[in-house]
Amino acid sequence: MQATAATAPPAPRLSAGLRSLTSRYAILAWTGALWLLVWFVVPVVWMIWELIGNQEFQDTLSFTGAERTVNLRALRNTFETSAITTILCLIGGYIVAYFLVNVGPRTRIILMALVLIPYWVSIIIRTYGLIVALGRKGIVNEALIDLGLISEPLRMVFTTNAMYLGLVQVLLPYVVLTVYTSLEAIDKNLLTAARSLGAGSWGVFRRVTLPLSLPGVYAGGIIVFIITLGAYVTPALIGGPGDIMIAQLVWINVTEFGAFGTAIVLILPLIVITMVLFVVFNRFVGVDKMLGAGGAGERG
Amino acid sequence: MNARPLTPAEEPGSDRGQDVVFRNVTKRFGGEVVAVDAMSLVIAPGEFFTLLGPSGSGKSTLLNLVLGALQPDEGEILVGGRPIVSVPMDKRNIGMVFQNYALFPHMTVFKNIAFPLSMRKMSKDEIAERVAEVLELVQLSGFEERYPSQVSGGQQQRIATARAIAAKPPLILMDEPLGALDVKLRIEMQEQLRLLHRSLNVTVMYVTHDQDEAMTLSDRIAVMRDGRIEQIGTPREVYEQPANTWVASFLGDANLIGCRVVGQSSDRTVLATRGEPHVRLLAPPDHPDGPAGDADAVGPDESVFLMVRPQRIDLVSGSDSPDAGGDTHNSLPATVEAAYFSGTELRYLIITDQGESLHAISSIEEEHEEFGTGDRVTARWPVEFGRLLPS
Repeated sequence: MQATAATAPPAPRLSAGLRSLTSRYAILAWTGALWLLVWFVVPVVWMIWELIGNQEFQDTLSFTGAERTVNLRALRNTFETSAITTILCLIGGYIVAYFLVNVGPRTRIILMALVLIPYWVSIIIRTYGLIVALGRKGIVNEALIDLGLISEPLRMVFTTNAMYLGLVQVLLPYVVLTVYTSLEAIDKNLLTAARSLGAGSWGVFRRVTLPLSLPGVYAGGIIVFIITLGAYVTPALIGGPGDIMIAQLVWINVTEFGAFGTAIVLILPLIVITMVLFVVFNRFVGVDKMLGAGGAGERG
Repeated sequence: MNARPLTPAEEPGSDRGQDVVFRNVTKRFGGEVVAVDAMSLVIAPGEFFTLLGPSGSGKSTLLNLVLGALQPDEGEILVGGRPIVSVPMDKRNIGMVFQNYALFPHMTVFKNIAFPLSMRKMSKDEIAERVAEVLELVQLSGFEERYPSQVSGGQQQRIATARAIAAKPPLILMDEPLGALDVKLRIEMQEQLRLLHRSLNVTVMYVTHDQDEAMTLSDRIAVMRDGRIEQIGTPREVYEQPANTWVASFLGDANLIGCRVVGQSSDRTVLATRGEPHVRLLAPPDHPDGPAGDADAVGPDESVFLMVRPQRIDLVSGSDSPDAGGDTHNSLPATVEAAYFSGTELRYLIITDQGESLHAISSIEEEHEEFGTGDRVTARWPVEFGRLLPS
């Protein structure tokens, strides 16, 4: 994703969109747009249209159906999980990215590989890996017992904490990469200038580094938040019994009950919030920043 | 650009320039490459001091050592008598203007200039007052709420200068601050910098590779090469009495005529051109109080260069007898190879009968005979404008 962003022309900002619609690169954007239209927008609109008169749809929409409590809880759960995962990823990812920028080139390659290689491994494999590692006879429990810290294996897998661990482990690279790109783009002279003007290390970070890396923070945060909203595998595989997310509920509704109307209603808030986030982000930061096309964020 | 001349309003508490002393400062990169080599140097309080040299000569390294962005491997640097090598960068109170200005892109002009002030915990009112003051000084009042990306290059340069002087540091460092500007703007900014320096009375260490800029601005120039200082002096001294052929060629056009020492008297050195036919030339004795005494050691029969600036050479038509200048002028018969007209001056490339290429420049305001390619001429210059350089 990063590699293509570096070579491809920066995605046009929607705000400056009209001018770029006529550029010769626009054909690339139009191809993508057409693809989305045919395979995403049309089916979704069609499905909503089909189901809009459906009684089940009406029931779910007004939250009068039998599963009202379950649905609401899953909805709340989904947003809560997304928010917490995003915060955890931002904190962890920022720290990793900050190190990446400040270590020597050799260490950076090693650290980068440690971030990227898991990122390219299938999410299911990684999640099963966590189950193995965190299980009763997993490496973590064994190590803790060998160290004499605990006598009985801890119940770690199939808990809410395990779900967060799984989500953060899967999503951390997004923040690392977006923040790294932002940090890397900061002119090192700015940091020297800030130091020479009387700012200590903390002052330089708070007044210069952090504000200039915010585009990367926003981009990473929004990517993580949106992906977590639709997370299915991780909560389902290693989450606790209470960690029902919307995506799971949709799956159950469709496969077990054939309740497409309910599924659509459950999906709607996710689509809406994703679009709102996208528009807000574009308004204030610019979608091009999400792809890492520069982080030193000149304003105006 | 604002046409109003900058009025150098004396700043309150302006008597604040501090001296800078380098003692045996050495900086190596990667343990091998010597960027600054056992440098010792004294810069006077309030002086406009320029480090001039080609890229890789160590001038920027020297500046970064003072700033604190780099640490010397050996030696000590003192500012106002205070050793600063062990002082962290943010406690040195030195202003710096970067080549690319290094303005904070996420801050307004006001916030940029206020940065060093708020770092010094000044009150809001004091900060507003001081920012207004320096903006006035660089003629950018009214630009407070703009972002750096919304102003021109020249204005960015002035904002960077304003930010560097805002906290009233006794020493300001400038690393090719005008390098990114076009020629016309650069000359305008040079004047402004000069006036600003006078009104602030701070010490300025200025880095450039542009010899015209160095001469226009500086009280003194250190000509640097390979981490060493080749020569220090006023612009006039380094231009007219370069210490060696390298300095002579680096600072503008220099005609170097290969000669052999024939004899010496108290007020003249007698030379003969190395090329044939041998022509007798005269040079002043070495300047005993000159900045460099390299040529002091010239003995009989030694090979030397006689350096003459193109502006000092007059062309007269015909090739009279070479010694026609007597004891006051040197004469060399030559043929005009090319003539260029540049608007303010006429430049000639001539080939002497010894086969040396020389440049001669005459201002078009003076009444001179004009020559064309192939004309026989005699190049004449007053003896005192020659300079003996070791070969």
